[in-house]
This record gives sequence, structure tokens and C-alpha cells, in this order.
Amino acid sequence: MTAYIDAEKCNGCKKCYENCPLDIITWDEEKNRPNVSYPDECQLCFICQEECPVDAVKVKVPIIFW
Amino acid sequence: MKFVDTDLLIIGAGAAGCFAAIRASDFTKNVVLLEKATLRSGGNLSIGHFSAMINPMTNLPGSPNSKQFVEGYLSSSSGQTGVESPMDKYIIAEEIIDRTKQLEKWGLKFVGKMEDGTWGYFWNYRIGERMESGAPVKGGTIKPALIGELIRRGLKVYERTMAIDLLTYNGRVVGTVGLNVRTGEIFGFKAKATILATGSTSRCYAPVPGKNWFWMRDMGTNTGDGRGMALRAGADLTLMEFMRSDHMVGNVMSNTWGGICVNTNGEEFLEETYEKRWSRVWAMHMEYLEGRAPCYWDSRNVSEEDRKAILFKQGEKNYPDISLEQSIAQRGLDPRKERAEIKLMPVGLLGGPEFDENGGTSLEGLYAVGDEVWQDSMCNAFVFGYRAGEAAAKYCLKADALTLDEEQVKAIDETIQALTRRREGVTPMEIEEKIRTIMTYYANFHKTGGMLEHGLKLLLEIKEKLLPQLYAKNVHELMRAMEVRNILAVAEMHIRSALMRTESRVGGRHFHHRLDFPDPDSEWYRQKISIRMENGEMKLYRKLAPEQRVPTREDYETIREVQP
Repeated sequence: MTAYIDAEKCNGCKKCYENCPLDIITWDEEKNRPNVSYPDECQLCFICQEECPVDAVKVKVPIIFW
Repeated sequence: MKFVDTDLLIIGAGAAGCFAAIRASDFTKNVVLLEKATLRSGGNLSIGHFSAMINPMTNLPGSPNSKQFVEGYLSSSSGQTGVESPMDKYIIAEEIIDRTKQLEKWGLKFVGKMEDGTWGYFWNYRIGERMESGAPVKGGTIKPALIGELIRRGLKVYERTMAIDLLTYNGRVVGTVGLNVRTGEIFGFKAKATILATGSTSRCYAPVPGKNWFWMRDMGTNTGDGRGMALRAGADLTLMEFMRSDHMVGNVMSNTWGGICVNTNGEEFLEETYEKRWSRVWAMHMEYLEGRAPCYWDSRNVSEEDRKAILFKQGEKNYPDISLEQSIAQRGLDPRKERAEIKLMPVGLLGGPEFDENGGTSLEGLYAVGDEVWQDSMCNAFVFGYRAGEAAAKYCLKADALTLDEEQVKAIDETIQALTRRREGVTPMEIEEKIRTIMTYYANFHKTGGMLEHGLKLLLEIKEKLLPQLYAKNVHELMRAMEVRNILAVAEMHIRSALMRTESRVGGRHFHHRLDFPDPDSEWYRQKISIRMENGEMKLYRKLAPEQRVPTREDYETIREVQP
């Protein structure tokens, strides 16, 4: 239940890393790619997906029954 | 510790904080904004994909005047709490049109602006003596409009900076200590005046099953930071016993737009009419308590065209992933053929620092606006953000030079450092989950004295036994640790106030319900509970709320001009 980032589509612009309100995304300097380090803290706000210019971020909503 | 010197410090760059900063910059250029997230992603409005409404006033012909609106408000269910200030409602009614015109100039877009220049195409009701109108706006255009104007004015924003505690000197608030939640750097901010605008209290209750602990209805960054800081600084906080709930369909924290909500007898208990809208939040509780549950969302008669609109929610930015329809499909239901059962969920707590018509609190140099206080709406945030920005800036211009209490600065620094020095202990999330579980089981919608007392006992145990073991492995956890202190403070204030108010009081979107005292008690009418920290302990007082009458034009004229 979190943001998934396609490392191949990603162009390394850092927009998702810069804008995540709960700061769950960290930056891997070596690979020049974002890393979703705290997936349990994702609030599904979709800001990363919305900011991504190359459509590399997909926020997936869990299939859950209550 | 490095210190930043400024006139006005604003904590929180959401709707109220941004508006306050913009207005303050008309008087002084020394304005600094702190935001725990970023300018782009701070505050409830930054999510954007929702429908929003400018109300209660619009430029539609036939709109009510302020007097008619407050009359309507006082006779509606919202007016029945008897603890709010009718003058606040009057001020919003008088000033929201001017604020909206400003926002429109900066880029706010309406859903359906008419050729004649009016803003909306629906919501202009008159039911009995009550009137209201509202203009729907594109939710995604509000925050960018505010950000654009902030940038044009060259205002300084410290992003990823969380305010930890307020600095005080002789009862006056003189700034804050901020933590950069990425680098771990600790800054001091020295300010002649401070505005708290940290938003609602989102992370108070447990999430619905299967959700993570951050997926609440409001922004997950909202942890009552301003309330915690105000309490520790010695400010008076009020109305903390009231909470908000909403109903949800499936796993979507959605409004039940489209379709109708019916009880077990098939009777519609909720309509999107003016009258019912105000009691929306409590309506389903009534069905439960009076034996008409379960309740359902019935969209069998919705046209395919409307269904599409519901699927994409309303507003500008649309995410079919989180649609009502998909969620219902996940449960194996066909909404075209079946009804879906709906459920109640707690949204958060109301209440916050006591404030006057200019956002001024009980402490000199401290202001509070937006969802931080007993307000809870975007239009309130615009109007009072603007007023507080002006009042605080004017205060700065005449305020004396300030002194810092070095010992206090050191003590706050030490609180932060101690958490990172510890190598083992309890993590912030362990404590947060415990607090929110206690709140869910012992201080939820329907309270009793016994359960509240037990909940309080558990919270105090956390405070005494677990909080001293709190530790942070990295800067990210340090932020969570600082948040959990505030979540605990808010939870304790809620339970203590709810215990004291031995009655039930329901008004529109907020309520306090005690199963052991199920009716309103005239003894408690117009009585507010105020909380203050004295010698390390929370003290609760009763205070009289303003008279519940419609203000006159003359009343308004005396406070229209914003005074420092």
C-alpha cells in the first residue's frame, strides 16, 4: 500500500523525493534514484504520482475488505 | 545553535499560514514560514483532489447577508453547541468574498464560473429562516494560488522544518526551536510574534482495518503540533472534548456523494440539503443509537453519467484508483444492483488554543488560526489567516525588543539530543500505535466515565513509563518522536475534558457524547472547558462562551479594523 517507482522510467528529477509530505522517500545518491524507505507511512496522497513528469510513480491502493 | 532573527514567525504553510504570511507582508518584509513538509505538500489543501466550497457567502444574486446567515446558523443544529462565537461566523460571512476575490486573482478556479461573473451554479438555499449559498471551486487550484503569491512576494520559507517548542520570556512568546527533519540541524527562530497554523489533529485514532497508520482522512502530517506547543508554553486551550466523525463507504474515506444514505428501514436519513448537511456528521449516530442500523449507501438509481462523476470523485484532480465504486467492487458488490453498508469513522478532534477575532491567544505574541483552533474549514482559514497576519504584523511593528531565556533554549535542545543519544528503548511508532488504540477503544464516539478514566490511566502510564524510553534511530524517527509527544498531549487533553463535561452536546459537525450522560445539561450551556499547564500539570477550568445572539452591524464595526 504505497508508492511504487519504476527505476527504468525514472529520470532522476527528484520531484517525488522533494515533495512527499510524510518524507517516506529517500534518495539513493549512488543509483541516482528514489527509494521508498518508509512504505508503512504512505498516506496515499498521490502527490508523488502527480508531480512525476515521466509517469514513473504509481501509487497503489491495497485491495482490502472491512 | 544558529538563530534566525525575524519579525513574524508562522508555523505551518497550509491555507491559514500562507494567507497570514501574505497579509503580514503588506506591513513587514521580515516574515518567516516554517513547514514540516514542503510548500507544495504542506496542509490539507495540498492534496487537491477533492471538491471544495466557498461559503457561506458568494457573489450569486439572492445570497443572504451576514445577519441572515448567522440567524440561520444559530437556529440550525450547528448553533446548538452554545459554545461557539456567533461573531466569528459573522466575520467570515462579511469577509469571505474579499478573500475569495484575492484568491481568484492569484489563480483559484471555480468549477462553473458563469458568463455574468458569478462563481457558482448551485447551493443557494432558503429553508425556513435559514439561508446559505456556496460556490464550488477546483480543489487543486487553491494551494498553487497561495504558493504563487508567496513566491511573488519573496517570502522566506523553511521547508522540512518542524517547530519543536515555543520560546517564552515573561509570559510572551518570542520564537521557537526548529528541527530540520532531513538534516537533523537544529535552528532557533527569534520572533516578535508567532502564528500557529499547524492544522487539524489527524493522527488521533486507529485507522480502519488493513490501512496503515498514516492513512487518515486529513493530511497525515497533522499531529496537533501547535496544540502541544501551545500547551507546553502555558497557553489556554479550549473545547478539546469535541470530536468529528464521518461515514465511509467501503475502504474509501469518501463522502457519500451521489446516491442516498438510508437506514435499515430504507428511510433516507441524510440529504445534501442545507438543513441536513450541517447535521451530516451526527445523523448516522442517531440511526445507530435509536435502533435504525445498519445504514447503507444506495446508488441504484444514479444515472450512468452521474456514476462516472462519482467514480472520479469531484473536483479537478481525479484518481479512479480510490473511487467509491472500485472499493465497493472489491467487496463483491454491484452498486447498480445492491446497496453498500456504510460505517462510521472518527476523523479527529476539534478544539485548540483559545483565540479572539484576530487570532490572538491567551499569550502575548502568540496567534493561532485555521484548523489549529475551533474552526475547521477552509474559508475560516482564509478569513482568520488574513486577520491574524495583519494583527500579528501590526503587533511586531510596535513590540519591544525581545530577550531569550538561554536555559530554556538549552533544555529544548537537550530534549531533542536525548532521543538520539539513547541506543535502545521504544520507537515512536510503538507509542503512537498505543495512544491511538487507547483513543479508539476508550475515547471514541460514545464515551462513558469509566472507560475514559481507564483510558486516561493508560495514557498516563505511557507518559511515565514509555516516554522516557523513547528513542530515534535517525532523523526521520526523530521527527516521529517529536510528533508523538504532541499526539499524546492532544489525547490527554481530549480525555480529561471529556471526563469533565458530564453531558452530551451535539452541534452539526462536532459532538461530545457520553452514554452515561446522554442529554444536554442546561448547566453546561455556554460553558467551555479551558486547559492550562500549571507546574507541570494540566488544570481544567470552566469559562463562559460568548452570548449566542446575532451580532449587529455596530458590533461588527467595532472589531472590523484589525488591531494588534
